Amino acid sequence: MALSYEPINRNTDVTNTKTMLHEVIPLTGTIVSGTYGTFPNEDNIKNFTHGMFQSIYDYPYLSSSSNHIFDISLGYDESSPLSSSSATQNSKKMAIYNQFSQLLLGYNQDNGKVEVFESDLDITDDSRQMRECIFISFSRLLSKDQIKKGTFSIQLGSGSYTGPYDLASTTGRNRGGILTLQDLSASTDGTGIGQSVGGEYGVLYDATGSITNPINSASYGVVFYQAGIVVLTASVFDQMYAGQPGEVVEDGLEIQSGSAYGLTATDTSRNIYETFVSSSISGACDGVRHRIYNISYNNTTEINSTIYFCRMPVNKFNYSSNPTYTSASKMVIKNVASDLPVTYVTTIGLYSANNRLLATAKLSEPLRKDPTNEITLRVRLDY
Amino acid sequence: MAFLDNSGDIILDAVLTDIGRKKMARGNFKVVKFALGDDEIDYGLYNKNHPSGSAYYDLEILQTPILEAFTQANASLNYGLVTYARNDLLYLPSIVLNNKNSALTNVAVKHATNNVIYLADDTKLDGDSNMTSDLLNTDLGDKNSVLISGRTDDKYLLIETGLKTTELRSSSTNQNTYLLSVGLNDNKFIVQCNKRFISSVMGPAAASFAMTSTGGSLTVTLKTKTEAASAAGLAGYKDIIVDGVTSRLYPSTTGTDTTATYSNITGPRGAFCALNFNIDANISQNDFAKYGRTSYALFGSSNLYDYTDSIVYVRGINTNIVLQVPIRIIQAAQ
Repeated sequence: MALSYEPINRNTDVTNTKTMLHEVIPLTGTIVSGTYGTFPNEDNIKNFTHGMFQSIYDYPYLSSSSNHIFDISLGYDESSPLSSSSATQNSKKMAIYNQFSQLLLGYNQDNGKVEVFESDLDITDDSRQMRECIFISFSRLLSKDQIKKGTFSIQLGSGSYTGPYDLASTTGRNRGGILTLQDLSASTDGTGIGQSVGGEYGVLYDATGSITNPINSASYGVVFYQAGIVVLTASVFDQMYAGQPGEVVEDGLEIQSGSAYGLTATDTSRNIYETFVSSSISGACDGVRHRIYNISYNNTTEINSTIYFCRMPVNKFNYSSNPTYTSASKMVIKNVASDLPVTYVTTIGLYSANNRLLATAKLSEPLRKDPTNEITLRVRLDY
Repeated sequence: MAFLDNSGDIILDAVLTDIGRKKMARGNFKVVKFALGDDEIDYGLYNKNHPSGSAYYDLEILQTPILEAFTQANASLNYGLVTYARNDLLYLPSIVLNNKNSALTNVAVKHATNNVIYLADDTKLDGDSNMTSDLLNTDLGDKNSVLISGRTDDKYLLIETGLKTTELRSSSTNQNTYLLSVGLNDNKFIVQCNKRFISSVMGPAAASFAMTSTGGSLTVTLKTKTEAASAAGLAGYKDIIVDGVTSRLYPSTTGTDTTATYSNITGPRGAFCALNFNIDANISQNDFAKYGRTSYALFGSSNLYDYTDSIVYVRGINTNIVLQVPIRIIQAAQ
């Protein structure tokens, strides 16, 4: 290789930048339930023999082209009234709650127990506690470095079991329509968010809004941005605004109904309370999936870049060692010696001090270089 | 790799090479210089006689599609842009391996069929106490393409630079005009060789290449050169600097030009250097087995050899022109 090198001055030719790249991630409810088979046994839903969570893929998971998009699980704190040795998978539901709490909130220094989730920004005040929770944890593939603050939205059906998104089904215990939860108060400037051992989190408010329930008055969960985990209180499936948010009541929406859940003629359906107590985690996750209408957020990829300014002075790189540059030692681009030498740049090589090629950059089209022009090429390496 | 989209603005597609990624992982990734390449360009497409004028000379070159960047270091910048101080050069020198051994008996040439130079280790004998070079002499019919490791009184490679043109006579005037006065003569050469196989390089301690009344005269005294301080750009290679000597092989001002009998440069000649090598004494049979072959009947005879192939690069220190010399390091099978 015949090459001429030009030094890169680290003080004047190199700069470092950090860029936040955002992508919109829309997850429609049809992927979550019903698209790849018959609910609740779709091919893109993976259940495990341990039965502690359920994985959702964007395509039948046995296919190599499928991508894991998120997991659903649920559990309750040991102080929950739902906790009972007779409850189905009682220990596993508590283990799930404890695991997420330990990871995201840490331990309470006073009592040595894990903190209890709260749907507010102060986990020490013990208000708006969420002792029965649904956990949705998004894969790294989607959430990347973090969920962008102020962009998360989850829409849940609050109608009857058979018409979960149907507004007309506002009868009995059903609210009807779609409940939209958003991290309305969170902002990328750092306001409206809380800090915990699991990173920053924002509160998910009912953004549907009404006279009896104005926007920002009711919170039903939190979203942990860096962890990519959403924690919803089970009371989001309570009867319309019954009780306090975070406090699950016994007369909630129908989460499970019919033989798909193995329910008998005498026990045809289960509300959220009954589901948490009597259903397995996987079965309860099926019921939750059935009510997910839409999930949407922007992810964030933090790109650290080093930009190298490769400056080509007028009288540098004026000839080429390309074998086609000469014919019988005579330059093919010149008629007479006084013609200006011309070269065409296609590649930039970045080298270490001992001439090792560390990075290459290709131009999308050849760039003419002659002694009448000076060119600066900006090579950006992202990490 | 696919072609880059060249329908809009000029974009840069940058990737780390394998070495770059390794250095990144080790935490010693530090870029200190850059070089430019034009591997995709066929300068033959430059039409300096285009009927529509100079704006159209490079139309086809500018439409050359460019491939995405490769991560392999050796696939990215095979040919580079070079800097010469003057902009009024019309001729650029070439570097060639002299093959005029019929007139210059000490010059080793590439084997016509195998296209390599044999570098024989004569310290290794076969079962009948024959030296490697003698076995090669038997199998090849001569020693024209055989260098003997460490020998200063035998054959050597002769490398020449100059203009391979018939438009210019190889006179001293043209040498001065087209090479010496414009900084295109190499008083040093950098020899890059694989340090696993070659321990040192011998270059000219004193040499002359001139025309006398009886014809071309080449005299060379070789001596071992020390390794250059700078590390090589090639993995596993080392740089050794050897002297270049300006050629005085000029045609007589009267009569026929017979200099082409002694030189592969047809136009003005620049510098030359002579080379031989010392094979590393520590090459093991495992090295031959790993990088070449052992106990192999290379020529179909009963003579068996251990051998491995390597490339030696010779680069002019002023002109940056490079010659690749294929070397076959060979010994009688042990």
